[in-house]
Amino acid sequence: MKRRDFIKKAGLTAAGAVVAPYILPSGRLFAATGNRKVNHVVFCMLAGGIRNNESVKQQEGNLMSTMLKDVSGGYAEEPGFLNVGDISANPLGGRRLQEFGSLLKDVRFAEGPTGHYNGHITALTGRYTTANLNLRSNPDYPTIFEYYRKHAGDSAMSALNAWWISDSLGPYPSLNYSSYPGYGAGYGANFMQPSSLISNKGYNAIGNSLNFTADEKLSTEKIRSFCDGNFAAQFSAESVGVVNSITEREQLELFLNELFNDSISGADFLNWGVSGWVNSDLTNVYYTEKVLEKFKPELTVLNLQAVDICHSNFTKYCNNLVKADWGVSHLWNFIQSTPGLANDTVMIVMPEHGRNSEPNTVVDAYGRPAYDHTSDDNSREVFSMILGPYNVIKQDHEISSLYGESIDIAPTIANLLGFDVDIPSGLLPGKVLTDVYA
Amino acid sequence: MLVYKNNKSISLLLIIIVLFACSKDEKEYVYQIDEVEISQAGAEKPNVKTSTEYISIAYADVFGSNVPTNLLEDLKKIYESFGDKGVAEDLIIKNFLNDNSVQIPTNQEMEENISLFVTNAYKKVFNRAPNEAELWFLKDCIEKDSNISPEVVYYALMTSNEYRQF
Repeated sequence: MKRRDFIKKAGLTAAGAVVAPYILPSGRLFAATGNRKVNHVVFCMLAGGIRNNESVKQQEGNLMSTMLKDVSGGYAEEPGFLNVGDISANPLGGRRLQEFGSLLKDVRFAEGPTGHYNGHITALTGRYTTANLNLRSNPDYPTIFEYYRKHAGDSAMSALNAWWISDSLGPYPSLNYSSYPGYGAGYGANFMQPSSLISNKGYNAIGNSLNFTADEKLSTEKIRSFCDGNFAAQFSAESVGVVNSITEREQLELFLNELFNDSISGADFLNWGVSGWVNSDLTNVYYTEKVLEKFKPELTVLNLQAVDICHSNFTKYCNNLVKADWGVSHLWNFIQSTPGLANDTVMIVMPEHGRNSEPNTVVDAYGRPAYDHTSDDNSREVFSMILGPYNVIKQDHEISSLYGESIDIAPTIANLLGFDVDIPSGLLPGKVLTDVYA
Repeated sequence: MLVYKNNKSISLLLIIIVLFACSKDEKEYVYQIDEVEISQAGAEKPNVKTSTEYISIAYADVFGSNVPTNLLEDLKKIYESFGDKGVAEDLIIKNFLNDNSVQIPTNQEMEENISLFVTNAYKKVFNRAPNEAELWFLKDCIEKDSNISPEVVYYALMTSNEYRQF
């Protein structure tokens, strides 16, 4: 080789080494700058407004006896409360969920009105919302899903890796992405509201669809691509919401068909307890487990809100708290039983806000007064539980003093998945909850 | 100056007279453009359909009647229950097309007059006639590809991006 050729080739090789991006096994071009602590995070918003009085302070006995250790005595079968025999067995056997991680007993929803929707926005965006809310619009600031999809890998991070599973419709479908410039639907999470979707009406609407052969599919694609090409200049990309690739869409349709078939053949949640045990919260837990099993997403958020019946019925609020507690432990047990998720998942549990210290004027059939959530100090008190592998999260650890805010969950998730340092400064004012790290 | 102008006019007149004097009885050609209906593909559709609009219009396009109110409410719920609207629309349209009471042309009708089929499909689905390129493309596809049925065409058009807007 001539000297000139050698220098030229050596130079090109060196340039290639510098310029060529490293292609990760996952198909990502660039890795996030930070180090991942785990590969999966599940954030369970134990929402609907739960007072610390009935959760960690256990003023009505231990209504969360699969998650929390007894403070003074266990579950008390008071009038109107669920019979002990009707409560399904602890999915964790003899253990309590808090043993698998850290319990933060005094966390604050420090600013903004204590409403469900802005409570959700705060948890998902890591920012308090004090402005007037348009209930049908996407959040103003990026959600944790968008941070994840944009910064945890490259911009092509699959939407199948991020899921938002809500127990209800209303404004909640809007929480899978924001209207913030540079983020938005292109980085949003897949959203599902299972109880509306996987139902008789859902099946009638979408469960009996025309099946195309592989060749027919190719033909439809050819025609559609031609049409889309002609319309590209006018197409409003935000109109389709979150976007999955053609292959991913096929996976999603297949998944929905599997869920319909599961429902037709008798969904397993029917075996979770006595008749009437499974409520909307537990249904949401069930379908979240289905998503986790199918896609093993890296970031999953679900909510439970049945306790919000507390506006009018405190007794049912307590009973729904018992069910929510069971559902959360079932979810953790499922994660630990699922290869690919076990010992590689951190689960965070937190109510979106609390409830007032003073009751409203409604009294239920058992003489118990009801409680709203109108931004008094009590409604700002919440707890959090962060569970994970022993080498990542402190086990059986309690922090009783004031520690953590609602806005800290988003940066903590970002840190756990190793992309917090890639988020532009100033967007996330909260802190990483490092005191729970092992 | 006036004299100069008059001379110029007279010269021009003489030239015209000479030209006409020399002309024979020749065939007269008139060159112009045939009348063609021109439409840009998907022109002027800046608005995104709401879920109600999307479902109502799709139902009317496939079944030729208004969607019953209770079905509309059910379908809206389904539409809103899934984040990827493409998936929701895909399943709704495929479900419509699998119904026995669907009102789209048969295979035989399509084969008999492909141009008419394509034109009618565009008018029904996109609310406009296809332009020449679109007509040629789809006609060519149908002629060359035996997999293409009316269902395939209607499904492809109704799940395209243009159908999402008006």
